[in-house]
Amino acid sequence: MSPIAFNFGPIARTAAGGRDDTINLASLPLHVLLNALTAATSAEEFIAWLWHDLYKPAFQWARRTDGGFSWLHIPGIGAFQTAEKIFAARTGVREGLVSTHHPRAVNSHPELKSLPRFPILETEILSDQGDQVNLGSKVNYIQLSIAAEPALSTALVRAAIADAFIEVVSRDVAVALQKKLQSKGTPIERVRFEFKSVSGLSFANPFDDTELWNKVGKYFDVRFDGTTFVIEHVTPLSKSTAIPFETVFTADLTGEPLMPSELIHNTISLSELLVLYQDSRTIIIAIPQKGIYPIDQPKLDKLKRQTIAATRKRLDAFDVLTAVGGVDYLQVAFDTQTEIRPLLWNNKETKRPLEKVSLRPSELIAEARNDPSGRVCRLTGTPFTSSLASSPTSLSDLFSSSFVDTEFTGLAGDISPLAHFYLLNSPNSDGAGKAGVPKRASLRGSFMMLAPASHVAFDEGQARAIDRPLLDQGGRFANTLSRITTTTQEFTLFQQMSRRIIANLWQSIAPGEPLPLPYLGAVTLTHKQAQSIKLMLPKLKQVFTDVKLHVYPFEITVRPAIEVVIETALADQKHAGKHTLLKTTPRIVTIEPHSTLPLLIDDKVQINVTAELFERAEMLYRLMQSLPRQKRKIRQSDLWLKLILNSSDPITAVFESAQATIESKRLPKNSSMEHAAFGDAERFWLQHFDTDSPAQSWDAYEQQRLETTTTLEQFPAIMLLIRALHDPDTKGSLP
Amino acid sequence: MTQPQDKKPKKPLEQTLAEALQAARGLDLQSPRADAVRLAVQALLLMRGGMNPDLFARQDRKFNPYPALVKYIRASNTETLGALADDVLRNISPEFITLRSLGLPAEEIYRSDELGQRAMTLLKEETTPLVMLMKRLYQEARGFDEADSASVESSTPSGA
Repeated sequence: MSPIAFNFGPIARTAAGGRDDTINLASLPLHVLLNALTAATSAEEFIAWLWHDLYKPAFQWARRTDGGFSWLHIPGIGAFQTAEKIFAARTGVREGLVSTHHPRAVNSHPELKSLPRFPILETEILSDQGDQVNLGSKVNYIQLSIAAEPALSTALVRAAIADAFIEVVSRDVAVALQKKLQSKGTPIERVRFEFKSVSGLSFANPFDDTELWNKVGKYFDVRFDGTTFVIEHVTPLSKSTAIPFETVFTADLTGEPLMPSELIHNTISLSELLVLYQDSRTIIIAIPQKGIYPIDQPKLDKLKRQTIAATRKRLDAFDVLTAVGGVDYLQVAFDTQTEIRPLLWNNKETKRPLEKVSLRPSELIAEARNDPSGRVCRLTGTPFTSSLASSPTSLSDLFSSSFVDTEFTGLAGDISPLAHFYLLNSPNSDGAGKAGVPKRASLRGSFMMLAPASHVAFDEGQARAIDRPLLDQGGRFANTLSRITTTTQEFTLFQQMSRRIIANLWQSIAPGEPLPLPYLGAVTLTHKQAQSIKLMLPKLKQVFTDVKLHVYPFEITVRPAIEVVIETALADQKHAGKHTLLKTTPRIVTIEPHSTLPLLIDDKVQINVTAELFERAEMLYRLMQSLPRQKRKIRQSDLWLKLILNSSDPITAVFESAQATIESKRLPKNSSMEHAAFGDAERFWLQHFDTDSPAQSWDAYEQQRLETTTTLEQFPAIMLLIRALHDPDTKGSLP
Repeated sequence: MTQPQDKKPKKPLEQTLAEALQAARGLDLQSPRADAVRLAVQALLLMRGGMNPDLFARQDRKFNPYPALVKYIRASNTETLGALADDVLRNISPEFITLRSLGLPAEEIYRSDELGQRAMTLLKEETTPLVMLMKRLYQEARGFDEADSASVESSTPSGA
C-alpha cells in the first residue's frame, strides 16, 4: 500500500549548537496556534503569537560567535526589520511585542529592551520540556478522569462522556475567544497559514539583509480577510524538486465539529488544538490563560452539568438507557466515577510531568480500592464507591437464564455505576423485545470503535533531509540531525494524524457524514450499524501502512496510534442476544505495516489480522470474483475457496467447482459438463496467468498455486476473514 | 492465449508437432519442477498429436480435444506416463495416427525413472493447467487449431 502522507507545514523549533542538535516535529502552524491558545493573556497577545515566528519558513540560519546557530526569523530584527512595524499596525498589536519574544534576541539588541513583551514566554510553556514531557510551567488545563478499568462493556459510555466533555469545553473556549478576538468588531473565526516555495533564487555570497528582504522577506504577509486571519510564508528551496512542501493549513476556532473532508484537507478544529492528551480514561484539555478564559468553581460546575446533558443526548442517540426505576445512572456515574478538575499553573510547581497527570484515573481507582466502603465491579474489576444497591448475585437474575459467559464475571454482587449501563441495556430491557418493539442492541452484539490514542512514536534514524535550506548560510543543516525531542505539541501533532486516519476511514464508507463522535474524533458503531461495520472491515487495511510526515526540511516515518475494538457477527442471527462485549478489550494499535488488528469475528472466535493475512484474503477474494456460477445454494467461488484451501491448484479448483455448479440442463446441445468446466478454467487461466511467453504463464501459475495452497497452513483463519471482509449478504448502507 | 486469425493450418501436422515438442523441451521455466513439467507437456503433446484428424470432421458435434484430455487423464488409473498416454489416446482416438515426430517423446515418456514418475504425478494432479500450457504450445506451433471452432461449446457462466 502507498504510505499515508501528512504535511502540516515546516518545522518550527530546534535546538542547535553545543551538545544540542535536535528538532521538534510539530509544524509551525501548530506551534504558533498552541502558543497563542495557551500563553496569550489578551487578544492582542493572541494575535501577536500567531505571527511571532513569521519568518521561520525562510530558514535563514547563521553561525554565532560562540559556535552555535541562530535561526533569524523575528519580525523587527535583521532582514525583517521593517516587517514588524507594518504587520503590527495592520493587526492592532503594539510594536515590540513580537520582536521581543526571545530573551536572547532582546539581550543582543539593546534597543528592544524598552519595548513591550509577552508576560508569558515560550520558556514557560514549552522550553522546560525536553524529553521529559511536562505540561509547561504556566499552561492551564482542565482534565476529565473516568475512574474505570478500560473494559469494553463501558467503552461506549466512556467515549460518549469524553466526546461530550471535549465539546462542552471547546465551545465554551470558542465563545470566550470570539468575544475577545475581534478586529474592528469582526471576530477571528479562522486562521489560515499558506506555505509557498520558490526555486532557482540566487544570492550574493554573503548576502545582505536588503537582498534577503527584496528576494524573500517582502513576499511574506499577515492580514485579515473577513473573519479569517491569513499568514503567508515563502521558503526558498535549494532543490527544485524538494518534494511536496507547499501546503495550506487552516485552524477553525469556532468550536464547531469539522467534517472528515475538512480534516483530511488540512483544517484543524479548536477541540483538536486544545486536547493535549486523550486515552480511554482521561482527557486533558489546554485552556487559555485567565485573561481570556477565567475558570472558577461555578464555571466548573456548569461545565460538569453541560457535560452530563451532552452525554445523555449522545447516549439517547445510541439508544442507550440511562435511567431506570427512578435511578439516574448517568448522574450516579458522574458523581462516583467521573472527575472534572482544573490544572491551573501556580508559581510553586515548576515541573508538571504529563505522566503524573495522565494517571489520575488510576489514582482515583486506588482511592476507591483503599476506601473502607469500596467495592469491586464484577464485570470490569473496577474498584468503586457508590450508594447504589447491590445487584443480584445470580447471573440468571443479572442477565438471563441463557447467560453462559461466566468466566468473564466476578463473584460478588457489585456492579459499578458505569457497568450498570451494560446491565440496563439488555436486549429486552424497558419494554424492548416485545411484539413490534425491536430488541435493544446498542450494548450487545456487533461493535466497532476507532478512537485517536495519545501515542508518540517514530524512528529517528529514518528522518531524511529532503532539502538543505537555501538560506542556511551558517550550516545548520549541513549534517544529519541526530535527535528528535518531544513536547506537548508533538502529542497534539500525533493526535492530529490519528484523527485524520480515522476520518479518512470513516469517509470511505460514509462520505459526507460527520464522525459519530466528532469531538473525540472517534468512530463508534453499535449492532444497529452492523452492516456499516462490515463495510468498514475491508478499509482497515489502511492501518497496515507507513505514515510519512513531511515537515520541511525533513521527511520522517512516524507511527501514530488508534484505539481499536472490532466485533462483528457473520451469520449469527442471535448475536445481539449474546454477551460478546465481555469477551474482548480495546487495544491500542499503531499505524504501520507490521501492526496487528484484533478482530472478534463472533462470540467464539477472535483473530489477529496482519497485513499479510489481509493481502492474502484480498488476493483470494479477487480470484473468486471471476467465478460467478451458482447452483441452488452452492456458490462456485465458495467451493473454489474450499478446494484451494484443501491444496488443490487454482485451475483444477476452477474446473471442479464449475462441474459442481453448472446447470447441466442449460448447456447447449453440443456441449458437455467437461467442455463447460474446461471453458471456465481456460477463462480463469487467460484472465490471471496469460502472458506473451508460455513459460512465464506457467511460472505465474506456479507462483499463485504456491501462495494459495499454503494459505490455510499459514493463515488458519483466512476463510473467516474473507467472510468478514466480503460477506455477500452485506449490501446495506448507513442507517 | 493466442487466437489465430487465419483459419487454415499453415503447417502439416508433422511439422506442427515437431515445433511444439521443441518448444516444450525448451521451456525456460523458473519452477523447481521444470523438468517434470516439460516431460508432462511432451506427454500431452504426444496424446494431442496422435489424435486422428477425422475426429474434427464431424459436423453435428464439434470435437474439442482439450476437455477430453482432462477428462480421460483424470479418469485413468494407470501408473506410468507411457501407460497413461496409451490409455488416454485409446479412449479418445482409438484409431490414432503415427507421425515421425512422435518418436522422440514416445521414447521419453516410456521411461520408468524418477522423473517419469514425477511427471506422471504432476499430470494426474494438475491436469487442467498442464493442458492449458500444452494447448498454448500446440496452437503457437500450428498457427491454427482444429479445435478452435469447438471452443464456443462452453457455456458462458453468469451469476445467479
